[in-house]
Amino acid sequence: MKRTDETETILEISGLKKYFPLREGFFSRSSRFVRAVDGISFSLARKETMALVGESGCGKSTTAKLVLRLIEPTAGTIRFLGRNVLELGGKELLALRREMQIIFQDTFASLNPRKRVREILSQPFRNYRMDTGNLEEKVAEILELVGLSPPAIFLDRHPHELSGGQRQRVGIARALALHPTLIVADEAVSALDVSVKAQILDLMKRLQRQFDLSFLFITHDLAVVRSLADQVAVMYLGLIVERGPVRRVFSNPLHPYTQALLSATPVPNPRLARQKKRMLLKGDVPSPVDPPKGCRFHTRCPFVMSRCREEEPELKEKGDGLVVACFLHE
Amino acid sequence: MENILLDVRGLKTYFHISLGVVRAVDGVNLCVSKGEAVGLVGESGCGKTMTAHSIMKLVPSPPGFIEEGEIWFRNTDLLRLGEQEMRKFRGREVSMVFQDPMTYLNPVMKVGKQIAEVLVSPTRDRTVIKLLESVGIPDPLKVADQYPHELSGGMRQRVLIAIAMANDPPLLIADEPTTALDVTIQAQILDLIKTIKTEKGTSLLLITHDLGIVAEMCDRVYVMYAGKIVESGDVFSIFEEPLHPYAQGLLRSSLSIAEFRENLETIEGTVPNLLDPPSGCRFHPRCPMAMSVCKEKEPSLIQEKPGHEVSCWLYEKDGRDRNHS
Repeated sequence: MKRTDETETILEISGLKKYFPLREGFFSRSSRFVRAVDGISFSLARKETMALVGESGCGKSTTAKLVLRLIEPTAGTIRFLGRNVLELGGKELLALRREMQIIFQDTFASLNPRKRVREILSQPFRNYRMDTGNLEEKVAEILELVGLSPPAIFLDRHPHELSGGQRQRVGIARALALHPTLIVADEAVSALDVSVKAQILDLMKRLQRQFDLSFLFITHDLAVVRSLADQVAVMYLGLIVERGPVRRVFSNPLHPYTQALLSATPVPNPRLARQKKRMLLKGDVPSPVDPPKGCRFHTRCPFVMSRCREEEPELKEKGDGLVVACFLHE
Repeated sequence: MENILLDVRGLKTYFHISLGVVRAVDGVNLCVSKGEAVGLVGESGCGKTMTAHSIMKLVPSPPGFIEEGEIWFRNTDLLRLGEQEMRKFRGREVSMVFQDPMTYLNPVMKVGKQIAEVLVSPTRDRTVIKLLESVGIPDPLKVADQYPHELSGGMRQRVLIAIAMANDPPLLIADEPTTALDVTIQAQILDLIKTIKTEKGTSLLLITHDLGIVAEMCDRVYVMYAGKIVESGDVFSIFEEPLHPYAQGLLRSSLSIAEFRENLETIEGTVPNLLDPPSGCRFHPRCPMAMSVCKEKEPSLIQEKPGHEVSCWLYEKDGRDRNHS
């Protein structure tokens, strides 16, 4: 899992920004913006899983949409398989999109309720004019791959006739149909029960090995990150505050926000839970419309210094591929 | 036995719908002692929320009916109380906080007024502002004058807790109180509930799907599956020596930040439909240890070790004999 020079980088994000204008009146031009993503950079290698973590409104889902170019960034570059995604259009973009797929959290919203599983899973092949030959056989094959077996009993069902776990398997099957390079999973297991969540994560890990997939995994659930991802990037108010190998970040988090997130996550072990010293953050996350000056975390940081209120810390290399943006570690 | 505050016996809550009868809660026994924190865990649809709603007598009726059982709170069987008496009971003796505070707060009434409404006997020490302060709201005067939609999720949950604790009830039922919140806010709310518990000696019945929260908050745990309690015991025995194959599977499949798992263990299959639950033990279709008896007969809850009960044929002498014969 270690990153070496031989590993091929498939995705490279640099200085990515997305500002959403605030509508403040019917006629007035908006002058204020929600700074959802405010200049982030990271890269992802083949067969690797990168987790983007953070709480509501930190910009992680916006990043997912930007990577797939479902929305246009305000600034920055996205290179995927050596090509600048933002410069492509028409057929070239379509061809590149075949290599990047997405799985969503809410399967009721992402699977058409009026279509049968057969139609939902035939669509990717139709989109790319690959519906020649025996389409039904191809669909049955991917259903088997995601553990919906025997396929015959699922082909004619509508999404509402499946359980939550089965619907997410259909979502994964659709993403997998064209054998992409990258799958973006946006809170793909967050709505699932414990036992079903483990089934789906197990399936994703297995498919990753089988098809050399890369995952960009968007989640708020740090326990999932520990067992699934190789790299983790912690986001706060549109910025990455710490990024590095999961093992390193989880065993020795450097940024106070990463420390707080890890210390706030309950562990299913009563002895550990009772020993744990909890680091409680004060207050709520500030608004991304008017983020705090200096370090954006300074309003809630237990180690705040005067410098943090004035200057913004930059990401600094700490060895072993770990970077952190905090004046405590300069 | 004097210490027992809440004692639920043989509770059955069924829903009568056009497709048939949904046995949401099907013979639940559960008790909470004074000052104790009890967890009720299980996955979606296992009946944990309906158990709580039954205790508060908030089951939507029709279609839901409490068919059988007794709910003893001290010396009163709540199921014998009329709605008038029950109203006096809620809030004073037992309070409940819910997952989604927006649904339970009145959207068109200011927060302060909503709290004032539930205060039975306001005194100088027990005012709306004092209450808001006690749940860690930084600017109580301002918040009292705001509407729920002006508050963040964490603040709303604090307001709901303030309302629940307004009259110092001896028992607080919390139904997934932090599920909708971000993890740092969740930590704040759990900390608040712990503080209330230690300061006032309030008993807690915590309903959750999150084993991490149970491990952290509870003294004793009930594990529920398909409308039934399958195992109960103190938090250490449940987490360290789970007996029921479902509890074992649940623990093995739950992930932790403290531990990397290369291969995730799972429980095969899905939760059964409670319109037509499996015969015998309801877990048998998914159980890796299922025996022939499991299909035929329902296991009873037996005490395997002091204070540790399980409902599984593996632990019944009768069951073991049958398996060998």
